[in-house]
Amino acid sequence: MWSSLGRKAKRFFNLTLLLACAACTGQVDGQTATPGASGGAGSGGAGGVPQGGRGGGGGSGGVVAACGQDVGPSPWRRLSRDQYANTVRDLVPGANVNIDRLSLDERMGPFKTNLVGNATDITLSQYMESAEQVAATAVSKADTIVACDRKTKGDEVCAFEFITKFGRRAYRRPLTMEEQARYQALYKAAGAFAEGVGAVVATMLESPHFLYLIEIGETDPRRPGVVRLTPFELASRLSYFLWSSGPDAELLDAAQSGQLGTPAGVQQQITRLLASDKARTTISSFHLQWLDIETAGSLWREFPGFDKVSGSIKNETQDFVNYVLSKGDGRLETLLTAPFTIAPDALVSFYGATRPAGADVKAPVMLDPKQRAGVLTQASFLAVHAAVNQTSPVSRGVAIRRNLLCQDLPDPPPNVNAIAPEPKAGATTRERFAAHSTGETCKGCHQLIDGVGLGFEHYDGVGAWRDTEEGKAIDATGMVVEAGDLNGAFNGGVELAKKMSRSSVVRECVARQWFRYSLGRNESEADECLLQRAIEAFKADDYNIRTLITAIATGDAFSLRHPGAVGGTP
Amino acid sequence: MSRFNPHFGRRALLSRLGVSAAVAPFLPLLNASGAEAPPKRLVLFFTPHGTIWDNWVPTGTDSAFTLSRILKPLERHQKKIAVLAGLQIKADGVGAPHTKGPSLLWSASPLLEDQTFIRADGSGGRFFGWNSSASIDQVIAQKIGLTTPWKSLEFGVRSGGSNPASRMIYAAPKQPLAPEANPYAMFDRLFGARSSTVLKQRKASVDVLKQELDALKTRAPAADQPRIQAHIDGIANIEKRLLATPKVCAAPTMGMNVDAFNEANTPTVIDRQMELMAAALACDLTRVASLQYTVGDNDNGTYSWLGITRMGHHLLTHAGDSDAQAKEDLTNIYAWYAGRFAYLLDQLDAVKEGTGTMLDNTLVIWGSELGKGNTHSFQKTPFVVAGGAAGAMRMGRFMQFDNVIHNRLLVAALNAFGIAADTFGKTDTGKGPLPGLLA
Repeated sequence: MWSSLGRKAKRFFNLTLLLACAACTGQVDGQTATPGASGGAGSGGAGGVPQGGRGGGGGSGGVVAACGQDVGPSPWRRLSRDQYANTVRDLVPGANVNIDRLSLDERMGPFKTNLVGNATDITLSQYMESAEQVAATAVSKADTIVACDRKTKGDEVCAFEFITKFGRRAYRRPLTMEEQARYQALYKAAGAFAEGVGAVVATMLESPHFLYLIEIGETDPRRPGVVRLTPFELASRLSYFLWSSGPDAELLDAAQSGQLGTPAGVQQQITRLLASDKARTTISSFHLQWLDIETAGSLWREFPGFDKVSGSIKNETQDFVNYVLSKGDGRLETLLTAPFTIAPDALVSFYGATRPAGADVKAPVMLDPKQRAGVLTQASFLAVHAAVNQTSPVSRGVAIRRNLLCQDLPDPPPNVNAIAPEPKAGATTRERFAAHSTGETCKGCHQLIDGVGLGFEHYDGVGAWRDTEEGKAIDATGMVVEAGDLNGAFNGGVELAKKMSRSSVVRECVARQWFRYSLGRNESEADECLLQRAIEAFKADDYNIRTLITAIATGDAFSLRHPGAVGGTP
Repeated sequence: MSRFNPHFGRRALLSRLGVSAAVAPFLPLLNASGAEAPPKRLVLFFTPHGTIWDNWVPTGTDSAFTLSRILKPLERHQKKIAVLAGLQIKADGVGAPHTKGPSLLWSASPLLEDQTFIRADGSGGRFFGWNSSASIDQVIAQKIGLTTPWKSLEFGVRSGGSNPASRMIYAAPKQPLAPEANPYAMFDRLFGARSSTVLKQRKASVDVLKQELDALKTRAPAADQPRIQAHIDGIANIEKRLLATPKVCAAPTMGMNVDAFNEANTPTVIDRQMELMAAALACDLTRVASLQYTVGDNDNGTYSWLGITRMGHHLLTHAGDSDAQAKEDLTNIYAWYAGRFAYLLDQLDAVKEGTGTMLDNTLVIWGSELGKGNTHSFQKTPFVVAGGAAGAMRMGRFMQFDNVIHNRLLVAALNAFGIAADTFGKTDTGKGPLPGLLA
């Protein structure tokens, strides 16, 4: 099977390679598909075979009939640091989880996951130490955490009940009889109630059943080569996708009762999970990683006044995306073009707007629609993708190409001076970056990058609006090439954002990114048909992201598992 | 075999050895009896993005040389180092230069050509995997690291996430070892006081985990079995330490905790890591250690403590050769690296062993993942070795080579630890140790 997958991958590999080279040398072969369909973007991405160029933009293929029987390989994921911390805090409220004491995650495209790196000595020591720290909280609050009438029932009965209940949450399925017996013995050996509870908590948090999303599945004679997840395994995938944490008791009940065995039951749980406050975690973490703005909370920039807003620009984007996806209409177009935001007063002023007297600070506030349109014109995106003392058309352009158009870009070639020109009196950024569009070495790639990035020149290095630079009027015209229906001239970030919100290349990329995030892996060729189905559903509901999320979570790729390894030979 | 006699107190040992705590912060307790020759150790030290050659290369002859501006901080150790100029890393295989360089440095083997990771590399490649071979320290640890609580210890400073560009140490093909980037966590792990209750509970936990992992391995699909096996092996190492007689070690002073991931704290963090490393070696908690300072794939940190904030290190290395300010900034960064390396040698040299010091009994190798940033050239990759592994290598040298592949140095390292070998790594196209380095 691997050899056949390998061959297919090779075919796609070559096509994508061709696209990458063609795009950057400017020798475009008119026969090839739009770069928007070439997935596998991102830097240092781990996991999965990147998807090669499927012809045509998304949403143009009509209703997809029956998909094949395969899905892309899904290794057992080890929890990411954030997933670990969220899960532990859910299990032991008030626990002290210090994720700085855990090794950093892998990245799959822009997303953090742990697919292919083994947990070795130091990583496992970190888990042990962290578990002990959490267990110390459990010991000190044993009565609260166990929540049992010890006087009436007796310590041992209470402890054994705790093992069953806590174990079900931590292992995300009921413990087997053997596991219960093992933990009962562990409890007894500790010699005292609170210490016994602590030993149970510590050990469960070090268990592979806690640390990995163990997926054994059930064979389905109609689908050789893949397995269908058990209801409990599906519950875990759902909760880590929609909550970035483990299932709660109700979701586990739904798995146990058979509710997750029916599409309607799954749908009902998805609706419940998305309506919960805990969905905020996923909505925030997806967007922070997708837009590559996780560092936005701690930026240092040489722009006067930035220190007054630097602490709130990350929260702004988190509040905004949660508003759009939870309270608002949920549409991609709104995410990319909304002329409003949710921000504290200092940031509202930074945007040159004012909050109406008496308006709620958590309510949307209108900005100048000629200046602002959605996430790409927020200070977080603009300031992260900029230099300390100036804008960066390259950084902004690369972020859009890689993360919003799902296009691959090679690193700069050796032997070039790849350093950004320093600010110079009397010269605009566009003038200083002109070498990119004239030098033959640079031109190929930089027409792709700078043509997008220079369109954001109305926003200075921290995202404040400017009409002039060095005494000259800003020229924020740009030109998009090699991006299917997004191709063409535009003027300014607002116009580009509007064009992007209507582009099939962007819409398809957003769907791909959510798909990758949902499963913690890249899509492979085997997933393509299922991915197209999700894109169809996305389209059918006017590109509502909530619908996309639901379509992914209810799709076959989400409930099936191909038990192969990532990392076949190309 | 326990070489430590727990009846000796630290003070008694100090007086027996005739040293004061001030000059021997990490008492080599294991050698208190003086009955055995001190063990040989290996230390690898990595700093990213090569060097500025003109300001790095010394002047003079093999034994009479003047250290360059960058290496000047090493003057106080000049008799105990050998500066190796003109080595190159044979950069075979897939991956962009900064991606493949880090693991090529210590493994001299290319990344696997599989589809585990994706990234355009500018020359047509898109896929790459983990490294295809074990790193030199792990090969040597297989010989000298099996009797210590830790076979090896990997230290990091802002050493990045789990991908080939930020992993250098490999136990085996596809088996990268994550470094510990938080010195305070490492301190607790190595030197923290643990009650007998905690130890008892750890053993009980490990018993449960072993049973679970064994059962899980039989159920795991073939593709997931290596991950579970690695987990089993890791737990076995933890268990081995729990069952061993605990060593009583003199712990370094850590001072006030700082955020180890805040760039501005880097000078504190790297020094704490090196002090911990020296203390662990002195106490024979391990005989093999490495320090990975940031990542080969783009150390784009700024160096505020050197006044370099206009752009990150990696961007600076991409300045053209005519950019004098970039060259000056980079020279200052690399001189700071040399200063930290000198500090590491200070720590090793402060521990008296037999008639010499722990540094004399250690082989320390300082390398980088390439030679020159703006061309990504693997030629003239800067190497300095120190200590010499108890006389196995002759120190106090400035040795010049004409594009000799660094596999020769790694073979010399194997030989210095008594491992007979002519070649090391899959990139090796020659044979034998680096000429003239071994005694």
